[in-house]
Amino acid sequence: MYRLVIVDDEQKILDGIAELFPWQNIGFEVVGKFTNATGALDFVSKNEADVVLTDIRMPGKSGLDLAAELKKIRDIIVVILSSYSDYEYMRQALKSDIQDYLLKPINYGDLSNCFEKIRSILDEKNITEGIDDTPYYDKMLHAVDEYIENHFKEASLAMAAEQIGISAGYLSKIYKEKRGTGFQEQLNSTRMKKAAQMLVDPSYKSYEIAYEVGYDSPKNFTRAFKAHFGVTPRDYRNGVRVNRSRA
Amino acid sequence: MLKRYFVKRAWRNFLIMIVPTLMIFIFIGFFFVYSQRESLKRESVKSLESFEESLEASIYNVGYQLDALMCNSSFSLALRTMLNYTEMRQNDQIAFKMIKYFFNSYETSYSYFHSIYLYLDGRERFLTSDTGQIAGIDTYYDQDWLPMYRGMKPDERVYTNQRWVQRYTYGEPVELISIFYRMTYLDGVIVINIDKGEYGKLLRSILISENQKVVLFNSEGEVVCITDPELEQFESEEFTEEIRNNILTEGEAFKNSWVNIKGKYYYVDTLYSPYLNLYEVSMTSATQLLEEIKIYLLLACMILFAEMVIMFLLAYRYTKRTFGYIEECVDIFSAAERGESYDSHFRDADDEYAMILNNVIRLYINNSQIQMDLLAKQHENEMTEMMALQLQINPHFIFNTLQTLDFEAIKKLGNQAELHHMIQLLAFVVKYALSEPTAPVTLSEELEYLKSYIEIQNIRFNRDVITYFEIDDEILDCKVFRMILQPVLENCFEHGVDTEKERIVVKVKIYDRGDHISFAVLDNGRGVSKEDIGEIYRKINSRTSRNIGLTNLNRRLILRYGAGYALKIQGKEGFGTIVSFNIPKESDNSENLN
Repeated sequence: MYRLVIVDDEQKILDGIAELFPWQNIGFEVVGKFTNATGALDFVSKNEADVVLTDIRMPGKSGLDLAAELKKIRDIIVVILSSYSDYEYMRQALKSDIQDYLLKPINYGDLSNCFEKIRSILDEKNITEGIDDTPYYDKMLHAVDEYIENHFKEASLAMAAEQIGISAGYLSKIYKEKRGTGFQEQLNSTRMKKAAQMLVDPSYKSYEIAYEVGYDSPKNFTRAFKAHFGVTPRDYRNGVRVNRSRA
Repeated sequence: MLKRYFVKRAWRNFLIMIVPTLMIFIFIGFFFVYSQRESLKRESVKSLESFEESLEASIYNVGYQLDALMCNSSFSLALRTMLNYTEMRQNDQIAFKMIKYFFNSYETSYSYFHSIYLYLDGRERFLTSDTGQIAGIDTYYDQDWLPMYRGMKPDERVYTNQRWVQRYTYGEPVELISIFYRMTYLDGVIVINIDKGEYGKLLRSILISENQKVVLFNSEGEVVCITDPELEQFESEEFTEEIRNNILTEGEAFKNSWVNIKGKYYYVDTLYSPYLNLYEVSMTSATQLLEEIKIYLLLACMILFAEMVIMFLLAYRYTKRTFGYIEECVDIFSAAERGESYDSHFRDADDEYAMILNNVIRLYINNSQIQMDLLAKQHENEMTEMMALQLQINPHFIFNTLQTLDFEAIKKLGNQAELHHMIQLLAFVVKYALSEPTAPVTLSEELEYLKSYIEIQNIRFNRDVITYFEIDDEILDCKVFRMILQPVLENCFEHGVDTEKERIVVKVKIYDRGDHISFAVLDNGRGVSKEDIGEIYRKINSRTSRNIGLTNLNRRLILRYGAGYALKIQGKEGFGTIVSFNIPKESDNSENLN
């Protein structure tokens, strides 16, 4: 676990970031949270910390000032949290050797991707022992499968990752590793099965089926269906089947 | 459409050009016919006059000479003695020989002379040149001349008629013209018989024109001779009858004029010869005139045709030039509409009309450009207002609030909650909307934004509006302006939805059209009536309209791409609406390469 310090002048947001993200799942633990830059500086100078996530606009010292001072104390990774893409601030942030920035309101996908990257950087620095905990993954992937089965219409890799509290990239990687098929492949397969079921019922229109299984372009749906079953949805509805031994 | 006008104009120009030429041709034609007719008349009269002279010279002279001879007492006594069976004396013998000599000289010098008779009234014998002897009236083969002589009117000096004689029963009958010449000092007659066949040949040779024929009528209106044998067949009874009547009643054959005989036109012209007591009627056929007119017409038609070809080419060229001007104008106008430079399009004013036209066009273009500038200014003002609004509401405030809301939602409802999802979508939408309005975006960025917007709308109204997209993949990287489609979809959601229909389908079609991208948003909502469409057009084109959605989009399209890129609205009440527009393709890659 890497140590994370969070700084934001708004208490509620500070608490939210610290508590509502499953930091442990992506390998971090929150060791300090502060509503101003001074407190954070004080903490970091006295305690061990690997990453500081700080708001850019704060009364008193700004996030960028904080970053500059933190760099003087120790080689520490700083991630800036901004509520609005402000070009002047961004320019400075790039100068101040900022690792990354996140926009408010925080999108889980962005956040997990960002910290995934940071973790791999840190992993390189302090070669850590790889702990293989298969039962843990099994439980996680089972939840993903269930998610696909129940939310195939609006499901996405990002949302699945958010649900189980790991990054999308990581989920994609371990899903492929453990299941043999990719997440997207599994999702498509589920969607096609559902579509095939619906096609048998003549009361559904073709574009409705496409919509119900999560396609907003009928063209793409037809293409995917044909790739999966070897026949177009229309032919399938008319009873045409192709026996394909799928590799 | 231009083509149809072109043909129409070319045809009209052609007609205008051809009219004066046609007039000239018609005028010349009339003049030509008139002058030809006149010359025909003149020639015919002249020819007839010379004909008469020859006629008189050839026949009358003989009679005159013989008459003069008979005025001499020794000749007249000799003749009288001869015809009275009296013994001739020496003197008489000489005179008789002289007369015979005369006869011989006539017959030898004029081939057409048949014979000459000298006769004194009351005698039973006459002198004939045929045998050179005295012949008995009752015994001579030719007998019918005497009744003709006796039928002469007493005041008539000369009488002419035609008759047939047959010397031997086995011989061919000969047609003769007999001229009865009353002697001046004796009561007697000199009969000159002329071989009509021979004489006809002579007469024909006198006439100048082939088309002229002369008919000789005697004082009784009988046809004595016709110069052309053909004419005898044609000989119209009515016409000769008319002439006969004229001669008998008025002493004049015919007035000089044109007559139509059996479909042929003749110029008829008459002369009276007092010496021979003959009416000469000349008939000149109009055939030649017609021939000449025909040749003229043929020539005229050929020239006319050649001229028509030239005129047609000229009309074509002229019309093409005119249309060139029109096309130039259209080009200039559309260039101006697109906001391109149009100065290069201007043609050098080579005539006053082009100059005026250029000025008018410049004025118009300047005017419409001022209007465009005004529109642009207004748009700019609105943008500034929007920016001001953005500045008034601190974005940090908005996003921090959204962040707090998001955390509250997750805390209370978990991260699968719809509320959390919605806040995330809203944050994305607001972020996109608050970005620099003029910064370009790619079509795929715009679509990502649009999908978030649609998702929020669907959650908000708890409606299952199916929105699906048909998009050509090749254009996903093309540049579009921010929120190019959102106003249209907003319109669908707000106005198009028909609550009675259970399912609304919205189709977004974006197609690659070569140098254009076409956008169309179709819905099967409640649709629009014709009046609605008119009202919408009025609203989106109104300069004062503050309706920010479609009006703004329409304005931006026009300002950026020109008037030809305005919004199009179609639809049918109860069936749905189509909002469509095109934009020129601007590839993102092209700029990167630069």
